[in-house]
Amino acid sequence: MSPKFVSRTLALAGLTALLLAIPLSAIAAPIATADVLTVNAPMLSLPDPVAVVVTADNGPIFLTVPVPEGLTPANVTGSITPVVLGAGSLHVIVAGQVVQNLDPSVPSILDVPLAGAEIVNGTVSVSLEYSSLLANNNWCQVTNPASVTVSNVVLQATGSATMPTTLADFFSPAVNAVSVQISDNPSSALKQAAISAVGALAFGLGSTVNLSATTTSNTSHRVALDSVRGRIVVLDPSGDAVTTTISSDGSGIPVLTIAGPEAQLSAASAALGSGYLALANSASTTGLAQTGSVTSVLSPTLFDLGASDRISLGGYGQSASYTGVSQSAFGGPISDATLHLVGTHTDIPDTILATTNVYWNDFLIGSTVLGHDVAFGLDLPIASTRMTAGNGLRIVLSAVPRTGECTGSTNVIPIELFIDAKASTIDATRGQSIKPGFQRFPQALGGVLPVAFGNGMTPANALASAGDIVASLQRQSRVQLNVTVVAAADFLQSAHSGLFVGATSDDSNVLGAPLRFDSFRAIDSRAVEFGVGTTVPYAALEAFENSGRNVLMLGGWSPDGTGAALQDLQIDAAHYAVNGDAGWTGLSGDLLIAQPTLAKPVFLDSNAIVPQASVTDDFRGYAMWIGILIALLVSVGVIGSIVRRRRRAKVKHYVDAQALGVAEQARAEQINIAKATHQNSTLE
Amino acid sequence: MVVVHTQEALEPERTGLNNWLLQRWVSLGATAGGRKVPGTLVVACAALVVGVIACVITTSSGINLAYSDAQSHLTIARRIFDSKAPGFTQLGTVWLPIPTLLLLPFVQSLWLWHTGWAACILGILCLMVTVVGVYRIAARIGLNRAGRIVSVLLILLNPSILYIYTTASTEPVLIACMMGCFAGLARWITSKRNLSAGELMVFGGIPAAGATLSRYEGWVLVVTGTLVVMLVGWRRKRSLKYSVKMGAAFAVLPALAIAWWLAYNFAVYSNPLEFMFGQYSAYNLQKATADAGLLAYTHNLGLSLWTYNWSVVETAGLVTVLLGGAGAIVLAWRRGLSNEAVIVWLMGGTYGFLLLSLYLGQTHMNNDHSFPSNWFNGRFALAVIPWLAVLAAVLVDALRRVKAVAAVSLAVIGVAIFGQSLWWSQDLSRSSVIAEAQGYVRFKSESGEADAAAFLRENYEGGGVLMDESAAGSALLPEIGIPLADYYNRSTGDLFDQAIARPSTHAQWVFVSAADASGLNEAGVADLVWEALRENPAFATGYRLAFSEGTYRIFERVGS
Repeated sequence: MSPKFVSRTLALAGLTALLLAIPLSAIAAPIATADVLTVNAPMLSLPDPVAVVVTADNGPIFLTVPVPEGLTPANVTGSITPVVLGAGSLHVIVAGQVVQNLDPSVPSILDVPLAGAEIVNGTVSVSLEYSSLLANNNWCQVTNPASVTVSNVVLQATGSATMPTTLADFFSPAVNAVSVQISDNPSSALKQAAISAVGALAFGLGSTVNLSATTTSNTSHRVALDSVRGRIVVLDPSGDAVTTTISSDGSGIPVLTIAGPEAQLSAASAALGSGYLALANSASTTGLAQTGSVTSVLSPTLFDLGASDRISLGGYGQSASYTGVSQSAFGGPISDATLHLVGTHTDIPDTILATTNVYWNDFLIGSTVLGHDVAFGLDLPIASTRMTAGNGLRIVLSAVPRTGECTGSTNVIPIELFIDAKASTIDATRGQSIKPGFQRFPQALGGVLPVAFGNGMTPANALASAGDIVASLQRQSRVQLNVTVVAAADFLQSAHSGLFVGATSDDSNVLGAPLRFDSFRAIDSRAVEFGVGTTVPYAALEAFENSGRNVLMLGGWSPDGTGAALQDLQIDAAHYAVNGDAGWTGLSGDLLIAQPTLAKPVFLDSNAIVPQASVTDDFRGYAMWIGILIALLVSVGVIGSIVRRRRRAKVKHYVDAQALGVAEQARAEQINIAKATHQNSTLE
Repeated sequence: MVVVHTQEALEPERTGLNNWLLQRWVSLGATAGGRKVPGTLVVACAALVVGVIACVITTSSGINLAYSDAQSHLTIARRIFDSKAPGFTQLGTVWLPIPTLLLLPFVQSLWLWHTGWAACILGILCLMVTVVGVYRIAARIGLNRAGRIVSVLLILLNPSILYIYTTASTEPVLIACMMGCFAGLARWITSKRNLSAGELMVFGGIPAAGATLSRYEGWVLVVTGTLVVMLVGWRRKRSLKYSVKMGAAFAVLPALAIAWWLAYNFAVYSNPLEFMFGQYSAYNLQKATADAGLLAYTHNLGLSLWTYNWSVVETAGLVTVLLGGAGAIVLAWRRGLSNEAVIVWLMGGTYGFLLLSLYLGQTHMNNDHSFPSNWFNGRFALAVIPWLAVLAAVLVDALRRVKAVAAVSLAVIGVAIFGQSLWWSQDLSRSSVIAEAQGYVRFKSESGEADAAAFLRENYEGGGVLMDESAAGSALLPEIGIPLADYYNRSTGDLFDQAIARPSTHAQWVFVSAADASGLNEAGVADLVWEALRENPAFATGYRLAFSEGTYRIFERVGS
């Protein structure tokens, strides 16, 4: 484990109070209400949004389906769709047995009995292996292999889901929705705790888990929950110490209540994202907390970035590895980097041609031919023009016999390349390579996310929207964000990057946003629906830079002032950030506009907005500079003229004095000559 | 007899070369007296060499034809004689005629016209005149060698200047004429001998007239130049009659030039102000932009300043602007409104004119700091560069005279100037003018425009082309390279209408831009051929689609 890695440092910094230092009686603390959920239907159908791609002759791919505690999996169904057509067979294997063989060249239904399947860590796995007809002969082919996707997975299960009994079980892999709830009219500290909880859960749970942060009475913007896979987290500002208890609500949905002093609830909420939560084998705990700060990591190893400790590629044909590299893993934005790969490969005989190509975001940045020297090392620069918020490192090994004869056993001469992920690093340079917009986040935050609330939304709606945006940002971040709530006035004057929810027109003016929350027109009138920005309200989520800080701002405008329609539009815009196409990664540009006439918000470039008067008026004061310049030149000219005149007068005076002196000297000499002459004549 | 070449015998040659170089070096700092300014030839040769190098670089990549206006200027010049309707009426209106007429000799060659070298030759000459003009101004007002050299370097090392001078834009001719005018005025102002009105008319008035018939910025020169001449004349003789006489001597030729232009517009278009308000005028073409609120700086002095100053910085360079700014303060301090200083202040008239033009919404200019941000017409700021160069020379001249700081300050300025050039060379798009050109090249590549031009060039073997070259995005004729007499376009008048009505009897090829935008119609740059032919059912049966990419379509007559 690398001591440098940010998230582990963060986790280690404060989670000690959670662990087993609790009264033994607490271990056996009873669950308040019925701990066994009964279901009316004999068979439960639990849809799962998981999807996998199975590539031909690329080994088994595991479809992992979470199983709620207490249920017995009966079977799993899904849809199989060819992506790249190929001939062969798709084998479905459960517990070592082939239970289904499908034709991968046509769409088909996956229907797999799970009797005998082993549940490991709350999940059951189904192995899928695609064998092509050319398996024996195509190991030289490096063209696009056949593949299928498996989606629309539904787990059929029997039995009764059991209530989680410990904090470790509360967020099992089967959980598909968590609602964080706080009381109405919350204080800033309580809002911070709620948003921190959402952020922590987004960090700790899968990206398919729906999350929301709402007040008690705001049920319309709460995620839908079912009693089997839904969870509720209630933050209760009461008591002298932070405690947790598990119970259920009237619908049988498990409820985790975190109670404690308001000021400590935020740290407790942050602990929900910790990997150490799995050690909390009790329903009731005390002292739940997580604190820490993000450190700057400019040279993480590939292992720190999520790769397995050994990247192994091998075999004839083509094999590849992929590692996602988020800029957030570096503790902040980076402008460029150098990739150092270290490893070893088998001695490549002269009869074999083996190359390793390295791609960064599908752009070739390095390539080498493997030979007899088994040491593998590449130092590859990654230019700023190749850098995005979420990057992909792909290493591809290609090996073919030089003769091109692709027959015979593929295992005669093993071709293997091992890359030591703990020794391979990416050395980055702190800087900015992305133009202002959504994709500057979350790395521009540096691990700290201040959130402020304006008067453009009701507190309940603003909280829900902030929760959505924070969840989306957190899912894009490799490190857990430290969420804080600050006063709106402080945020407006601050130099820190952050999120402002419920901004008004005045707020957008102060922040210098490219789109002020006022009427606007798009340069291309077809970019938005007719009337939007002039007679029809809109909401906008925008990302911009001003005076070196990067700001995310949610707000809107209505021709008749703030109303219910405007609130809903702002909620829609925030919700799209988390539920839209590809989450935060799918946010392009710097402006997302939600319109009442369209279900889906549209992206707009702030440069595609006709300049608003409130923007151009900011520059009127600049005109004074020309007055200053003219005044300066005139002043300098006048003073210079005076100085020159005085100098000329001095010089003239000096010259006159000199001339007078010379004249007097001449006269004196004449007088002397005259005297001498007179004397001489007298003597004579 | 055996001749032994000893070392001593070889020395005279080397000494001769050294002596020659030394003489050239000395000439660069010699006092300007009479008509001759020592060092002029040296500077002209330097400009010639740099100009040729710049032309080789830009023509080898084709970026010299990136601006559609540049291609249009080349085309207008050539179709005066190579057209189905040749004649001087091909000069049209809006664009002033001098740059086109100066191109005339060089576009006689199809190759020179097609490659853009015709504009390069003119550009090299303009660069020489510009640099020589700046040098002579600096020399005439008494600046030392260091100052003169700095002023020349700031122009010859500026990639924006060098690029534009390789294109058929009108700015090189304007700037060259203006520098010629200022150099002539500098001579008149500083001459110990009272130059006659005739001499002023020749050395100041003729280039001023050239400027007025190059770009409309030159018209301001008539007014400001006349005022300066009258002021200096008054100071010289304290005689109103003399000052009016000299003012008139200066103004008469440019005023006649303006009058001629108005008369030309009246004669050809029955409207003396056709150039100002006609269909192709800047006013009309910009109307849609202005109505859409995209000229955000209109009636906003602060934003006009912001936008314009950034264009100046991104064309002239920050070092040039800083040196020029400091030089302005030094000039105000040392010379105030002396006669020598007045000529330098006069050079800044272009800055004021363009600023006013932006404020009034008469000019459309964008850069990466404007609203909205875009690269457009950054080259309008180029005319300020010679002024900044002379001001920088004033600063260097002053520093050079202070022994305590002379060496260090000159070294710092030298490093800064060359550092600026190095900075530009690392990424030429740091120049707004080149960034705009690169944008056009990219757009042409992505829109299919470049490929369409290449297709027609490679496949045309005669038969005529029907094309609305005036449509937006279709100013491609030099790039296509076909003789203009083969085209039916708007410049051919009635022949164009006839060809549109019956294309199959006129043209084997039809080139259209199928872009659909209502704004194009309002501005008069929609493709008239496309508009007519897509409603013509006979066209579809008589022509086959030979090329299609982006919005560009090329049709070939069936059975050809």
